[in-house]
Amino acid sequence: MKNVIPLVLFFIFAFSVMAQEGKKQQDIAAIKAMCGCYEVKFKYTETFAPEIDYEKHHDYTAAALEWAQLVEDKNNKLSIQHILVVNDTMVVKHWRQDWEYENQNVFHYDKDNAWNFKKLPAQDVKGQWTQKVFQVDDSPRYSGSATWIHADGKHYWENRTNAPLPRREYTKRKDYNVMLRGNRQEITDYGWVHEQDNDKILRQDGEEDVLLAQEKGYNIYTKVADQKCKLAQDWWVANHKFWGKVRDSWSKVYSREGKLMLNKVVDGQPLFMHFYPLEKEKAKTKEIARIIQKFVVDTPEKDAQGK
Amino acid sequence: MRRASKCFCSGVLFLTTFHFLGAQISPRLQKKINTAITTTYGVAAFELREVSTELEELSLDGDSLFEIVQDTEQLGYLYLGEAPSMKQVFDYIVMFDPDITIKKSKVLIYREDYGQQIGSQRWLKQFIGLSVTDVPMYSENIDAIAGATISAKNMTDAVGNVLKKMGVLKEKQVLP
Repeated sequence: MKNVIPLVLFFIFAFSVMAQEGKKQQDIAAIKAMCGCYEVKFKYTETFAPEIDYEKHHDYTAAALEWAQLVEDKNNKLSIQHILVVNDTMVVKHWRQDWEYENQNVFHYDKDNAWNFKKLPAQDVKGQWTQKVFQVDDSPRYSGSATWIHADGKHYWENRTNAPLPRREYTKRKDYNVMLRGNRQEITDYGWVHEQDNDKILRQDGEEDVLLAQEKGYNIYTKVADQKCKLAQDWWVANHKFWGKVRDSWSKVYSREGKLMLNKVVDGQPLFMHFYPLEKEKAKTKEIARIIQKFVVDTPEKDAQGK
Repeated sequence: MRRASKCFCSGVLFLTTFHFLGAQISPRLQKKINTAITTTYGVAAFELREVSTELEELSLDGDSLFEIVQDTEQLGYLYLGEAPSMKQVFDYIVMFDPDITIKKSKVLIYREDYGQQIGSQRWLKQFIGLSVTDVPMYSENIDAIAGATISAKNMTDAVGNVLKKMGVLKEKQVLP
């Protein structure tokens, strides 16, 4: 009997490892399922506000054709670049989402274009995936870690995290400065849906966060033939090397713990405007890094905590 | 009861200079009034001048009436009042164009959980455009709100009373 116990323990261990690997492969399949060509509908509506005199803003709706390109495919990291096709004639590099398995290095938005980079304990991220979301110029937006759930025929990941204002309100709203995003990404039989339950928050130094209003959002991605996004695919073939250099340059900036504050404009222009000529001339990493560095307001306080 | 006489408001300074002389209006309410005026009239800076309404046949019952002025231009009037909800009172304003038609009404502070639907502009917009000859009647020419009957009826009556008072003030040529 004594001889059997180690064998049983071995099988339990082996089964556990196989189950864990199987779950991870399911996660990877779910993440990769977001790649491809999609018709996207964006729908947002404000729901509740604690103050009775708050006047809800108009609903926001938009539609787009978007190509989601897998740009990095490693065992513990996947990266998806989203590219818009506008009016069948124009391509616009859109957001990027990186997914990292059992990742400890995250960035959390505070306010005023500042993020706090920190390291999470390994036990806190066991089995989890961090989603890191980046702007059109590959500067940071938000990140959060959670477990992909595969149950009851559903495949989803959800997380709450602080973020800057969304692009649709970035230049229009001044009455709040932080969006506490409730992100839920679910793979569906038609594509995937990014469902959001967001809080619009006014954050000021030394004061409690003030909730201005809540909103519900749906970004609905319906899969269509890849051919419809050929323009974006071709654009990526022509430009992926440049943007690879941009990601490399940013990754050096992100290798930190503490605060990262970025200028919104330098020489009167936001960063993505600076990148247009660099992309055209297929600039070298050194030149890209030099421009990025101009936007970095370095205040490396290690314990700069977001609220 | 509130007492107020005059204040100068600047959207640039944003509330820091906003106060009613001799005020019994809370900073929270002042801030909400300022926001309401700047968003409704689309102005960054304005002056609020209290309108003296000392007439024998008219009492504002502790409410206040202001003329809203930007530089030398009259933007309109703001009536600040209180009305009962189920167990408490709520603070409301009615903003007028210079010709004394309602530009917008708002509930600024509400003090209980039931009846908060009256703050929605979907409902309040029914008062926009009413003049001193109009009589808003709850459930008749003003839609009822299920679950907020008391507050909605009281707000309707309050706006009706404000219109009546503004009619008297207009007739007696008290309004600047």
